[in-house]
Amino acid sequence: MSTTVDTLRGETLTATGITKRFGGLTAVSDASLVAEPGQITSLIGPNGAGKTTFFNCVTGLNPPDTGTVHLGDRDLSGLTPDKRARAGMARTFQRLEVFTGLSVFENLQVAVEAPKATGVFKSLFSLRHRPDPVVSRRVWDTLALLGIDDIAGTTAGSLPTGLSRLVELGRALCTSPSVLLLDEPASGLDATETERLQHVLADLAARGLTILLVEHDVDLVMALSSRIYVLDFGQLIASGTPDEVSHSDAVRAAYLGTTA
Amino acid sequence: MATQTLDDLSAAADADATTTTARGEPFGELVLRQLRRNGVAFALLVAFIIYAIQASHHHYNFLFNELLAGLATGSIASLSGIGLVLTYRATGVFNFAQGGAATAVAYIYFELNGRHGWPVALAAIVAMVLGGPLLGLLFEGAVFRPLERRSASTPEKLVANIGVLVVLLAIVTLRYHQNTYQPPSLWPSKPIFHHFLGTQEDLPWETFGDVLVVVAVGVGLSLLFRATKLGTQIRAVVDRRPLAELNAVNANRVSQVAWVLGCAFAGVAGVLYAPSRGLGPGYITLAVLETIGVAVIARLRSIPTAAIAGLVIGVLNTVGQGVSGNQPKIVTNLFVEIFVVATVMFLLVYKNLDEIGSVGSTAALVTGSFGAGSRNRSLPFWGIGLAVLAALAPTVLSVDQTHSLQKIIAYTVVFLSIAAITGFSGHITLATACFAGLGAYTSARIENGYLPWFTSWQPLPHVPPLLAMFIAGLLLVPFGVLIGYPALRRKGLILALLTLAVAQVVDKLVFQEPLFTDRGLTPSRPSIGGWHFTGDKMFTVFELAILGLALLLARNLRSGTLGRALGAMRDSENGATSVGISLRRYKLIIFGASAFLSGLGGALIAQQARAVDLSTGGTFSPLEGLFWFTAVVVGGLSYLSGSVVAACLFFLIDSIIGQDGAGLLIIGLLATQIGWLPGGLVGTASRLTRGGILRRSLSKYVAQDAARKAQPPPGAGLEMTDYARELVGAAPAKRTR
Amino acid sequence: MTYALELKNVTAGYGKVEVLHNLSMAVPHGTTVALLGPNGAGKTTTLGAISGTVNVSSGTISLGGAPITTLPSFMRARRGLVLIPEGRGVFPGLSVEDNLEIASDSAQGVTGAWKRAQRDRVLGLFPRLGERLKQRAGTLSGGEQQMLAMSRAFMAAPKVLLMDEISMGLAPQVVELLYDAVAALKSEGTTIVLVEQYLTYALRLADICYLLAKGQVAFVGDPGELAGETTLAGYL
Repeated sequence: MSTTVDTLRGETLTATGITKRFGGLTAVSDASLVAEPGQITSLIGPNGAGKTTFFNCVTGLNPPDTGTVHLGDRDLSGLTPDKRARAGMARTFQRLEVFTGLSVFENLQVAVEAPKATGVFKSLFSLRHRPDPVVSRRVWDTLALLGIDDIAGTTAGSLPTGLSRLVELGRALCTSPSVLLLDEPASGLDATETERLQHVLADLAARGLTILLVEHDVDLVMALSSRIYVLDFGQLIASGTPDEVSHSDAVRAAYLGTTA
Repeated sequence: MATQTLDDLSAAADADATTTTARGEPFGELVLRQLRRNGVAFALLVAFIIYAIQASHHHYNFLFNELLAGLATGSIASLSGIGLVLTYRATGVFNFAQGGAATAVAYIYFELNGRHGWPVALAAIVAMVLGGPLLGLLFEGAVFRPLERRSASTPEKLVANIGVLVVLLAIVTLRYHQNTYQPPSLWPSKPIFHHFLGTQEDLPWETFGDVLVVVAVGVGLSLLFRATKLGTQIRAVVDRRPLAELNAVNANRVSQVAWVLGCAFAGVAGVLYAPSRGLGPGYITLAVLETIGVAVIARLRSIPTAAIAGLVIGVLNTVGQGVSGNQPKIVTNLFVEIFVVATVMFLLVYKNLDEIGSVGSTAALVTGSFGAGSRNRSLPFWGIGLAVLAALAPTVLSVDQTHSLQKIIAYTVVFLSIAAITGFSGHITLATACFAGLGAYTSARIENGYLPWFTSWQPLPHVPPLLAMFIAGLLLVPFGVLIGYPALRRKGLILALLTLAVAQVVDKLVFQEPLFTDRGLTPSRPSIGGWHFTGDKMFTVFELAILGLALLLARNLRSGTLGRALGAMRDSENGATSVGISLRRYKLIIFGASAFLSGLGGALIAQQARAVDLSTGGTFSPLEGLFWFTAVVVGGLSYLSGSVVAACLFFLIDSIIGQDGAGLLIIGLLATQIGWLPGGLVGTASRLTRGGILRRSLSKYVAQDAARKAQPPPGAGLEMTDYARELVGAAPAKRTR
Repeated sequence: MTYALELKNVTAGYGKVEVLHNLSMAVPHGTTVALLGPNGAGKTTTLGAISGTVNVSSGTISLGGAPITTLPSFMRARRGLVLIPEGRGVFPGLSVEDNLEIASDSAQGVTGAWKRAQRDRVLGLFPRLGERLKQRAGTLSGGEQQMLAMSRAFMAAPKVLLMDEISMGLAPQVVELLYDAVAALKSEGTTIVLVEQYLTYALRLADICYLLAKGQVAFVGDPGELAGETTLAGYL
C-alpha cells in the first residue's frame, strides 16, 4: 500500500493578499493564509462568504485580481490550473467533477499519467496500449488506501455521491501532490463514510501532506484541524486553533447576524 | 389560435380583471431606447450609406431600390431571427429545425398552388396561417414536451432538434426527390407606383409586399406582447422561466405558444423566400440557417435587437453588393454572403451567448466506460474484420453492392472524425462536411497540379493521388487547429453555431466560387508501383486500408493515454485541469486530428465518386454535415463501430427500400428519440447485452445505498428525538481525537 | 388536525444526489416556522421540494390537507403557495409594473379592487418602487429588487409563504425594512416558512424552529430553546 503514501511530501502553501472582484462585488478581499505540511488547515465561514472563490483563486481556476500564491518557495501566481496541478497542487470540488464516462480505475490512471504526457505522434499511431505497471501499482495502492479497490471497473458516473467524493480524493492523491485542497469533501457522505474520510485525512496529514479543508461538518473540522481561518463577506475575521475560533465573538456575530 | 391553446392560463386569470393598465413602456420610448442601445449600429449604417452614395456614382434612384430590396431581405431575416430567439428563450431549444419548418411550409404553398391549382393568395395564406403553427404544435407535442418532462440535457435537445430538421427534409426528399421548382411570385408583376416620388424609378410590389407582410407580423407580435396577459406571461417565461413557474405561469403552455409562433414565423419566411430562391434540395433551409446570425447578434436574448440586426444586415447585403460592383470579386462576395460572414464575426467577438441551462457536455450522449474490457480486444477484432472484408468483398458482391460498400467505407472514415471530436472529446462541431469537402477539393487540386486556395493557376506538377490525399489531410490540420482556438473558450451551443457558420462561409466563399473551383476537380484513384487501385475491386481494398489507418487513429483517440486524457476533458474540464491536463494542448490535438481524418475521408469520398461535388445542397454542403452528425449520434458517438453503423444506415436503408430519403427519415426519427437510445444504437445494444453483468457488479453499492435510506426517520413528528438531542447537544465533543 | 403545510417522510434531491432523507415537518395554520441549519443541511432543498422545483422521490407533501406532491410548481402556486427564492426573485427584463402585475395574476379568488388595494399598500411600504414603476427591474439596486420580490408576498395572496434568505447580501437597514413587511404579513395571519442565516431575524419572528442537519430534522422546538451555545455549534 505504500508507493502512494510514502512518496507524500508536503510543502507550505502560502496565499498572500488574495482579492477577487466580480463586477462591483468584492467576493474575497485581501485574504492571506498559510497551510503547513503535516497539518490540516481549515477555512470556514457562512454562506456566500467567499470560501469557494478563495479556493478557485488559489488553484488558478478563477485567477485573483491581486495576491500571490506560493508552494514552498515556488511562486505559482499567474499559472494556469493545470500547471499548478503539475507543480503539486491537487484539489477536489464541492460540485462533483469526476470523469463520469471513465471507470474509477481510469479516473485515477489519468491523474498519474497527465504530468508525463508522451509525444502526440507516438500516442496517435501506437499499435498496442501496454498498461504501465508502475502506473497501475500506484492506482491500485491509492484505491486500496481509500477502500474502493473493489469498484475499480465501475463507470464513475454511476456511483453514488459518497463514493464519487472518494474517487475525486483518490484522483487528487494520484497527482503526487504536496498540498491537497478539499472543497467540502464530507457533503453528501453518511456517518460511516464521514468517519472513514476523517481517518484517511488524519492519516495523510500524519504522513506529512499539507491539507487545506473547506467543510461545513463542524465535528469534522474541529476534530481534524490544527488551525482554522474564518471568512465572512470575503474578509478573514478570525484565525486560530479550534478552541480559540469557537469562542471568538467575531465568529459568533458573523454566524448569528450583526444586529444580534 | 394562441388564446385557445391557453385555456388553462385564461382560467387562472380572474373574471373581473381590472382595466388593462399600460403594460410595459409606450412604443415611442421603446424606439428611443433601442436607438440608444443600438446607436453604434445605426451610426455605422448611416456612415456606410453615405459612403455608398459617395462611392457608387450611381444616382439616388439606384440607391433607393437597393435600400428597399435590402429592407425586404432584411425583414425576412429579422422575422426568422425573432422566431429563433423567441423559441430559444421560452423553451431552451435552439431551433435548427426552423429551416426545416420554413422549407416544409414553402413546399405546402407550392403543393397547394402548383399541384392543386389553388390561387396564389389562398395557397400562400393557408400555408402561412395553418402550416407553420400546426408544425409547431406537432414538434412540441411529439418531441419537445417529452424531452422537457424528462428534463433532458442540452445536447440531447440539440440532437433531437436536428433530428426534426432531418425528418422534415427527408419527407421533402421522399416526395419531391432532387427536383427543383420555381413557385410563382406572391405579388403582381406590375409596379405598385410608377415614377415613385417623381423619380424615374418604379416601386415594385415584389419587395414592398414582403416588407408589408413582415411589418404586419411584427405589429401583431408587438400587440400580443404589450397588450395581453398572455404576452406578459410569454415575456416572463422568456426572461426567467423557473421564476415564471413560481408565479403560477404554466411555462409548458407558453413553450407551446413559442413553438407555434416560431414555426409560424419560419413558415412566413419560407413562403416569402420561395419565389426568389426556388425550391430544391436544401435551398430554403440554407437560406433560413443563414439567419441564425441575426439571433446570434441578439445574443439569443433580445427580440428588438434581432429585428434591427436583420434589417441592418439586409441593407448592407444589397447596398454593399451594388456599391462594390467594381471592386475585386472577393470584396463583393463578402457583401453577398454578409449574413454568414457576420455570424462568424460575431461568434468570434462574443465569448459567450446568453445561454439557457447548463452549457452541457456531451456526456449525456455518451455511455459506457472506455474501460479495460474494450481496450485489449478492439484492435485485433477490427483487423480481422477488415481483412475478411478485403478478401471476400470483391468476389462475393455485385457491382451495385460493391459501390454501396465503397461509399460506406469512405463515409465511415469521415464519421470517425465526428465520433472522435464529439464522442471522445466532447465538442459538438457541425463543420465536418466542410472539412471533408476541403479535403476532397485540396486533394484533387494538388493531384492535378493546381494550388489550392488560389485562382486557376497551374504552377505545379501532377502529384500521385495517394500522396495528394495525405498532403490534403495534413494541410487541413492547421485549419482544424485554427477552429480549435476559439473552442478553447467556447463549448456547447456556441461552438456548434460557430462551426456551422464556418461551414457556411466556406461553402459560400470557396465551394460556390468559380474562381477557386472552375477546374482541377477530377480526382483519380491511386496506384502504388505496379498496383492500380482503380478498378472497383482493387479500390475497395485500398479503401479498407485507409479505413484501417483511420480506425487505428480513432482508437488511439478513444483509449490509451491520449484517449483517457481526452475522455477526462470531455467529462469535466475543471476536473481535467485539476490533475494537470492542459486543455489547450488536448483541444488543439483533437481538432487537428479530427480535421485530418475528415480531410482524408473527404478525399476518399471524391475518389469513389470520381468527382468533387461541391454543389449547393450536394455532398459537402453544410446541411449534409448536419445529416452526418445526426447519423453518427444515432449510430453511437462513443464507439468505433458507431460510425460503421451510421454509414450503413446512411446508405443501406435507401438502397434496400429503393427510395431516396428513407434512410434520412429513419435517422431523423431515431435522433428525435435519442433519449431512449443512450449511447446510440451501439450503446443501447451493448447495454442490453452486457447490462446484466454491470448491474451485478454494482448491486452491492445499490444495496448499501438502500440500507442508508432505510434508516429510521429521525425527527418525524413535532418532538425532539433522542437522535436529534444527541446531534445537537453532544455534538462538539463527539469526535474529538 | 390538518396543517397549513405538512411534509411526511420526504426524500428529495437533484438528479442522483439525494439531499433530504425522510424529512417530516408540519406547519400549523397562521404560524411562522424558521428553518435553520448549517450550509448544505437541505434548507433550500426543502423549500424547493415544497414549491415543486426539486424532485421528490418519496414521501408526501400536503397543503391545507390536500396532497400536492405530484403537482407541477405552477399548479402549486395557483393553490396559494408562494416562494420568494434565494437571490433576486424578479424578472429583470420586465418593468416593475409588469412584475407586480404578474405576481397578482397568480392570486386566486380575489377581486380587482383587492389587487388595486394591495398594489397601493406595497407602494406605500416600498415607496422607491412607486418612483420606478416603468423602469426595468434589472436596472434596480439589489435592495430594490428584493423589495420587488417581497412584493409578491402581498400581491399573490399566499396561503403559505416561503422565503429563502431574503437578507442575503443586503444592508441592515434594507433587511429591517423587509422584515417589517414580513411581520405585517404574519400579523395578518399568513402562514410563513422562512430560511434565514441571521438567527436574530429568524428567532424574532418564528413560533417554531426546525434545525436541519444533513437533510434530516435534528431539532424541533420553540425559539427559546435554541440558546446560543448549542445552536452556534450546529451552525459552524
